[in-house]
Amino acid sequence: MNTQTRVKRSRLRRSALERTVTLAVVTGGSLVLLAIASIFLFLVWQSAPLWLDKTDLQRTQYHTNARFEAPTTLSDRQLLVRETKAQRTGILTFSPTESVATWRPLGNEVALISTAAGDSAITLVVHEDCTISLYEGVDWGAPAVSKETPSPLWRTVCDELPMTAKIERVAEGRYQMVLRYANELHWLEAVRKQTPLRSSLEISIQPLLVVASKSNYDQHTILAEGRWLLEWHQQGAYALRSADGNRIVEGQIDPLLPDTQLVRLGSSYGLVGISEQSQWVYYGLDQHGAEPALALLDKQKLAFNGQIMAMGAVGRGAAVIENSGMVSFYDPYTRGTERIQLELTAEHRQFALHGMITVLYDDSVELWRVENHSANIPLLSLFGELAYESYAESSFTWQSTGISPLSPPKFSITPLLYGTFKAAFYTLLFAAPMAIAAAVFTAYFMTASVRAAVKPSLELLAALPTVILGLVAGLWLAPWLEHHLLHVAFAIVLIPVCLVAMSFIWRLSPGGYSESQLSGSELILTMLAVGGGIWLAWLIGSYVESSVFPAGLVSALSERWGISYEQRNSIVVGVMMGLAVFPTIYTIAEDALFAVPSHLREGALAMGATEWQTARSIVLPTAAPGILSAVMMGLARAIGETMIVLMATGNTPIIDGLMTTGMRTISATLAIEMPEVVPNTLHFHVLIFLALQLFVFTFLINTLADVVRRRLRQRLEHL
Amino acid sequence: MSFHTRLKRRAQRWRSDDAIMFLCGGAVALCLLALAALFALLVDQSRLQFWPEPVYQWETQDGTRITGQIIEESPSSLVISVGHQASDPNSVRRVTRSELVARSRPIDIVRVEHDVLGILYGVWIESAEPAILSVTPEFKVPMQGDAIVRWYFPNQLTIIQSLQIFADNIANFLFFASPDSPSDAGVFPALVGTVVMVLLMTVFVMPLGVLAAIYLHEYAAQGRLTSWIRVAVHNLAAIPSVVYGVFGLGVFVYGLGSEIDSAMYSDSLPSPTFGEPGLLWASLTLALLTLPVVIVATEEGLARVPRSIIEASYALGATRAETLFRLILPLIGPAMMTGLILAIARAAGEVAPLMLVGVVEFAPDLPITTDYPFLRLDQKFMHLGYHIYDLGFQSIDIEATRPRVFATALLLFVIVMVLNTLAVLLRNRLDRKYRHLLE
Repeated sequence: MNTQTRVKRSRLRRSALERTVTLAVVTGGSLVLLAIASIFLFLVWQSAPLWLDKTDLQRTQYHTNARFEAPTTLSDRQLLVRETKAQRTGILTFSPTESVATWRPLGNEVALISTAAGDSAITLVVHEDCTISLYEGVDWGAPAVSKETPSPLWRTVCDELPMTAKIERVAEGRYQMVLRYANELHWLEAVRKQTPLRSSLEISIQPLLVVASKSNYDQHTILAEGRWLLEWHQQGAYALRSADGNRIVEGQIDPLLPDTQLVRLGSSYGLVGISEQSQWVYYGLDQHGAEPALALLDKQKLAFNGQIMAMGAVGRGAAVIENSGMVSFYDPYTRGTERIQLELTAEHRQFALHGMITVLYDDSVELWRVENHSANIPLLSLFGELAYESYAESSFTWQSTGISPLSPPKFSITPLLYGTFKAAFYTLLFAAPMAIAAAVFTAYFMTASVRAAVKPSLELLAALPTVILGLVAGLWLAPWLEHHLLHVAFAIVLIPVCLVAMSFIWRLSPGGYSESQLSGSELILTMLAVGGGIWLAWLIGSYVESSVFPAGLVSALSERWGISYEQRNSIVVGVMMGLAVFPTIYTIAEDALFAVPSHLREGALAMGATEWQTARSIVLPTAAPGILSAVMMGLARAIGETMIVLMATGNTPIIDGLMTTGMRTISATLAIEMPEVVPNTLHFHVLIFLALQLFVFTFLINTLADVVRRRLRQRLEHL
Repeated sequence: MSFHTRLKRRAQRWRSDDAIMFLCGGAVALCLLALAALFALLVDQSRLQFWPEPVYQWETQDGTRITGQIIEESPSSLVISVGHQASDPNSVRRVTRSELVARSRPIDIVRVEHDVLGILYGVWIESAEPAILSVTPEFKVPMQGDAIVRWYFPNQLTIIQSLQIFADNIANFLFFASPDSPSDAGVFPALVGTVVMVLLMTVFVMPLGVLAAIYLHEYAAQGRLTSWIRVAVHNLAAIPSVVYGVFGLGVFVYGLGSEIDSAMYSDSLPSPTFGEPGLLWASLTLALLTLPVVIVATEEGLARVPRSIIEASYALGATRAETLFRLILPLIGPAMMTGLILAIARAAGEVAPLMLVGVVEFAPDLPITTDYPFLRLDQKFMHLGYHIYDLGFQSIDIEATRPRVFATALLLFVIVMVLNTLAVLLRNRLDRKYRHLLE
């Protein structure tokens, strides 16, 4: 009885344990596998916004009791609008807490208005009584309820009313104004003096250029961070005037389509034109010729259905809005286009586009701010060759952070792909022959005892932290190689020569070696030969260098043959990464060669074939798939290797195949740029997409290599 | 038969086969030599960090004198560590050989490690109290007793004294933590950071890896799907480590981290606690990275356990769980150990993913504390590998830190090599064990 209960209890306990352990192992195991799979899923999920993302627009609505005409200009918290009944221009200020907007008239009747958008906008107002004032855009400190007229930052009185007036931001805190009178052109610069107290902003004004000119041009804008003034005519004639007044360059572009409006981009080097006939044109200032000129960089069709109500620069690019509330965006830097439907609340409405979208209704105002710019990028601009403003010709350019805040980033990943494969190519060029030769020697010519010692020590190389190899490559090998390039070139020739010579000496030495009686001492002889080759190369190299290239081979390369030599170049990468990849190829190739059944080899030898004939026609062909898979695995490793390329190349994303220049690989780009990037931006998603490519490349190559190896194993089992 | 004929006969036996064999052997020899040369280079380059090298004095063409130790020699130029100078903020000078006229090795040169000024080379001025060091005739430094960290005559050292200084330097390098500067401290914070991170990673990776391996090998149905999963897991070991870093940053830091922040640390938002790279995320990322290593090693061990033993266990009525705990796990102990060591070795040498998920060039605090909870999981930490990258490639005064960088690399090299050799030895022992069992 007692025993029975005990047995029963023990059985219960055992089966409970069995079930829990099974449950734990199965769930735990599957979870781990799932976690691994999630890497791939994550990368796909985070690359998807490159094609699926939509620009995020945030709507805020304000009630107002007046009716307005479409705003001429605006900042983030206020609009400059013309009130319909009073026929006066004033400022519409939005309450930060309530959804109410209050309108206050500007002091005198306004003739001309222009706003320079930017982080803090500045507005130029020309009043009918011929006073010209500058107003701060954001910090009109007065509370929204006040009826007071805002006080200007700067004010002057003119003799005659200008015909046109324009202010534009040219750099951080720098603005330029162009005032055109009947016979004169005034070009002024306003520089913001940032005082410690944010509320007391000051502006200093200095005239850049005052010239007498009569103009045929009907529009103008300021380009190149304030160095050039562009004036143009609808027929395509334009003139560029330099800030020092010394140069005027006239030119001609294709006539703009009727109703085309040119919008200057935030970078101040580009213009986007939008016509009602659904045509987008993108011009950039090309400063590479003798004279600057406007160059057409892109032309796209983006169909509109309705009537265009407003156009303007929004975010990085430009946009138009149709009567139906459909907004079409064009990003000139990614060449991406996008259409978004706004949900509008009332039938009678007016629109404006100035950095954000404003919709005016009879009793309310809606502001649509671009919350998050879409990360959409067409495949063409990811992989293709694009023309950029201020670039001489179209190019594959990876420049993920602009040189200046005004210059937009460029995301052509082709140079990175090219760099990755260039590094991998030079690596394999060095590592693959070496590793396969070493594998043949180890599997085929080495005695068992030597093999047992040599193979693990070569495999130990695989565990070597690549940061150490990178350090040696960058700090020691690269400068050393610059001085000893010729010696290395001689060594490449002389080491094989010495090895062949050594094989002859080996034959001459007594002992009657035959193929089956390798003693293990051959490795020492080869080491001696390698050492001898290096020594000889040293002697000859030093002699030749001092007599033929007294200034060194490197300077001779660039002077005599025009080959540029960078200190951290493909040779350095090839050698050091080759050392890192060597054990991968070596181990797998050696395993494949060693697995070839010995009866095949012995049969061939018995038939009278020599060792090398046997190797060449029996062993190598049998093991070829294994060797191929070894090289593929080496390729995968070389593609993904990060630290060595990071430290041993200059990391410049250029496309050339030269041995003597560096490259920038995908992995190095990830290591450099990923820690700095802001999440959920275009740059972030492009980087994730790069990571996905690395993942897919290496995973596919490895899987393929694995399949090849499996097939080989099965075939060998049949033999 | 004369010697001459014998030679001739032997020479006739030479065939192109022999040349090919030697060419193949040359590849092995070259790689072995490269490995040895790499080690020798690391030792040679880090020599100045440890060994008390002689101090030389050079006369230059313009009549000035340079006193210091050689950092680097090339046929055309010299890089000399000249210590702290009154006129020049650089403690390292690069001179071309043609500038130098004569070299001497004065016996009375002193090398002083000063608390504030760093290293000084000079001569003691006799009969001064307190002692005054004359670096140049114009630049004299009075020495208060506690300002001197250490001083010796580098050109008068006996072997025993040299060895003492050598041992001292090694101890300083490994265990001396300077609280405020990354560039003249030893590697202690980086060493501690590496060890803590790796240990934390081990805590994550070992149970999970072993669990996954046992599931794959013992519990999952051995169909086509399982074999595909196995291939996938093996291939994950070859996925570039930087991709794991990207995953860690995206999922752990920006995903999990911000969730934890908004749930538990909402007071301190918007400044992130776990929502930025840190120790926890780094060790989790590396755990994921080394998971395939552990799975593969454990599975290898499982595959070697003779089927007969397991079947015998079942035949005696043991359940699967009992067989697992009493039989399989003890048997694959060494295999798990191998996996563990390989994982540690891989993690210790990995840098690229860490750059994304938590490593930093200088952390003022160690990642371990004496207060609860003893670990600063949310903090960034220092790491040997990144230390090498940072000092060697990001620091301003690369020539001066050069011996330290190579010394750090040597340390990492030794650690990783020892770990890997250990793993190889263990695996060999495992082989012998099963050979015995199978007989």
